Amino acid sequence: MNKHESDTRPLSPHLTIYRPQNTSILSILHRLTGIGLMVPSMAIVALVLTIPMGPKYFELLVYFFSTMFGKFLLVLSLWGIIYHTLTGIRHLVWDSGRGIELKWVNISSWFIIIGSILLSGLIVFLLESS
Amino acid sequence: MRKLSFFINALFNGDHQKGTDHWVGQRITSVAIVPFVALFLIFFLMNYGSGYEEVKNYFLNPIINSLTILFFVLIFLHLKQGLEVVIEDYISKKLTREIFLKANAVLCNCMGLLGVLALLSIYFIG
Amino acid sequence: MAEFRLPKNSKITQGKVWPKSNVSDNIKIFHIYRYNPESEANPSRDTYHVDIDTCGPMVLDALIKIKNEIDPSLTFRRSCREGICGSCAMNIDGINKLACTYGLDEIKGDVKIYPLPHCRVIKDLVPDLSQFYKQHASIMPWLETKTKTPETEWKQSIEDRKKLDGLYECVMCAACSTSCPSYWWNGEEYLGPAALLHAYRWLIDSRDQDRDERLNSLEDSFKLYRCHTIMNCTKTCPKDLNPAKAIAEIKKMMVERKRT
Repeated sequence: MNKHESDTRPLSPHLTIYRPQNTSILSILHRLTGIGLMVPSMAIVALVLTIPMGPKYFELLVYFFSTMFGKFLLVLSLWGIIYHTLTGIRHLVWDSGRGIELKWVNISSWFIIIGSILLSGLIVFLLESS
Repeated sequence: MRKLSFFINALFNGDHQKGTDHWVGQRITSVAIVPFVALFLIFFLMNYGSGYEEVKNYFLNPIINSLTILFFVLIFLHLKQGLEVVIEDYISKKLTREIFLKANAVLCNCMGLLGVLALLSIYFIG
Repeated sequence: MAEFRLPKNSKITQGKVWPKSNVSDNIKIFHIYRYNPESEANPSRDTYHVDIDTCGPMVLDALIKIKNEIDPSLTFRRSCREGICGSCAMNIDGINKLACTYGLDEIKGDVKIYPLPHCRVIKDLVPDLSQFYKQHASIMPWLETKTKTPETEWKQSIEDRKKLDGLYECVMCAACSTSCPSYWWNGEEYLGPAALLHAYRWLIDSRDQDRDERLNSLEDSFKLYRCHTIMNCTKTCPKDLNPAKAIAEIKKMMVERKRT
């Protein structure tokens, strides 16, 4: 596996001692939301599948998303979609060589954290009040 | 033409792309998905709580139906590309990695295909 | 799987608390990683009390004071004591810095010092960087030319020379590469931010004539593309350089080359 494994010298600590950075936290959240969005993606496919299958299946799916757990998943998914999109757009900007200076990274990090929470909060509020 | 073949190569050439092709492919799907996410959120917000007949009627609309097909293709392609990077990052054993990459490709392609077939059947069969 | 947890022989045990040598009001407590290759024991974390009133302003000053006055067996690399040799890079207070340019006043509370993360430890704060140097050598850190060597020197315009600013200053301390989670998990194949910054430094050197070959050697899933722009490298660089931007520029070159 690793060439290192035959090495008897200790490995210095890493994850456990490195102070959490805004850079790495937003990055791992981008990855986790990306993986997590598998769930709502499949849910949308399931929703579309229930249409040819008939109203009974459709109602069942709708019922699931009206339960506490279903609603929790829905809110989490909404935030996940918005967060992943915002960090994704920032990645695209970075890839073009712009906004990749530390100053802008720090500013955009806050913008993304606050923006994603506000925007998903607003959508949940609108859904609840409609 | 050269530009076009470059894009096609980056997106579809083979099961699993390497290096620059993979990187570019992932950027292409992500750029394409951005407007769809905005559309999806608006659509979701406006039609949350709709019943069976209403939802069925949306997908009988050819524009909504075909846009949703495109959306499915893009998100499952993007999901596949993204998970490939994650698998390569964390699974170092060559054989295990290959198995995961294959399983991931099958899973993502199947999910996308399932969605597309469902949409087509709504439109053509009802 | 990538190893997210430390191997058994690397788990850190509670080490020795060294007695206070003199009574002072202004004491700073240091928790320092210790490993002695001559003993069978696991690494440990020792505790030292340093009188700040009689100590220089930098973390390196405190380390030297500990070595001189408390525990001569404490081992670490240092040389220039002014941030130009890159020897004393270590993980201080949870972030990779040069001990000689990191002020004690920047640290609130106790000071925790570990070797650079995810490296094989030779002794105490001295990591094995041979892989890191090999990767640097692999990007051909020299001028590659094909035309005849000129009578005098290889000329470069002032504008072209300016392109190397922010790159040539790198002192190869390895703080950036060992701050990068991607380098932690795939450091064997991924070149890491430092080597890639150097790769870019030679790619944009107007005098270099082997750009294509340089880019070819990076066309691979791992060497370059394990960079996911996490940005820990730029955040930690003790010389305030921007490896992440250099890598982004290499990726742009790779795409540009394919498109034309």
